[in-house]
Amino acid sequence: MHQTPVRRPYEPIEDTAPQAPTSQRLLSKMRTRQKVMEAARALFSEYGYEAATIRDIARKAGMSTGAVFANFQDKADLFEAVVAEDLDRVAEVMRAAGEAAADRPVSERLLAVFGAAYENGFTDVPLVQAGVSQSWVRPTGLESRGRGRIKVLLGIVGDVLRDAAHKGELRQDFDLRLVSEMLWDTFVGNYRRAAFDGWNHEQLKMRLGDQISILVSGLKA
Amino acid sequence: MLAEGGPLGLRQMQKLATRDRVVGAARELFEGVGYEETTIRMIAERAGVSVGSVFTTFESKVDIFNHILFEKFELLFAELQRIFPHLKGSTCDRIVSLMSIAYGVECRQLDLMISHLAASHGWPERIEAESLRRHGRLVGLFREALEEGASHGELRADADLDLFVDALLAIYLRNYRKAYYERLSPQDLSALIERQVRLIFDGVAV
Repeated sequence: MHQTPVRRPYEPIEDTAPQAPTSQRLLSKMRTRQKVMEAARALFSEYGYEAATIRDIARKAGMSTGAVFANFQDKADLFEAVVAEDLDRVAEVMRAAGEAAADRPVSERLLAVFGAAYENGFTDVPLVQAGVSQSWVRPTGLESRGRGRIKVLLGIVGDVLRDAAHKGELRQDFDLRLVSEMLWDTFVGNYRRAAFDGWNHEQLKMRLGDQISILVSGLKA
Repeated sequence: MLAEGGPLGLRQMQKLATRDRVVGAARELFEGVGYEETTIRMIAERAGVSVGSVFTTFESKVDIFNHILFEKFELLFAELQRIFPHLKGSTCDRIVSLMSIAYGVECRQLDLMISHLAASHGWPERIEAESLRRHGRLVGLFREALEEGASHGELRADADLDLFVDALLAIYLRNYRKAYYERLSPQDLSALIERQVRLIFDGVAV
């Protein structure tokens, strides 16, 4: 699976005129932060959340543990930052896919939205598994920060459903939040297949297509 | 585990005794301190054995944890199997009843369930395979309910039951997370799963 390059928030700054010393410091701080996050991402993906240590992350980033702690409170905070970066990027990917498929029937449009996330969004399966695992046990404060971002993603799904109800494709009376959450949970749940059975994004998407059709059309005779 | 016929050898008896002590100590720690916070060293100390002998009886912490949980599931699933033939109502009602009973039992130790499910996203394939096997009994009941429903013409003829059973298990498990973070009672969970299962049956299409 290929990895979409992460956008660097500091890139535009480099093109501008010489910086005042404070901006230089800020710039170098952001670079350090980004370096730590890249090292952390690689190690969390390779070893999982528990086994990756701050010491190893610092070593990989080529700096002291002190420098890591100057940027992040602890391992949970660092992990949260890595995940947040992914969630923000995936939100863009999903939103764009939803807009591109605006004229398709609701099942296809939902599949386009989630399929894009499988293909170009959460592509690092071990990291996704680590993220899901941590989302079960993270302390409540961090959990709610992550949840804010998940809510954005759920909102994208919800918009597709609302739009379909508006067009008369779906019933008017269903519980939008419930259906969005069930779709999301199903989408996430399929990563088990990627992790344990080696499914690729095409297989995940095919499976999700079947699952979406169940949720949309029901099973009743 | 047991020798073919005859009484157990001394060594085997010692091994079993160690295993019991390890499991007992681990259970107390998991329930008291929590799974994530418990270390193998703590388990060994409490059981009065060496760290090495913990590892000769179990491969890892998650193996000890699952040993305890799978035993619990076994009891629950056996109970559900016993109750199942007496459950009344539609296919949907029967499945909801099964899950509601399970929530009532498992919510008594919600922390353990949450740790178990969190660990499930990082454990090795060997354990995933065992977990699926252990849940086979519950999945079997879902399937039985659906097949009976299908035989009464309650379900679509072309319904993919495997897919459906999979979805039921996933939703059943995911709800524990909601229960934990949104502090839902077993009654709330029961109401939630009813809406979810009904939704899967009815769909949202016009």
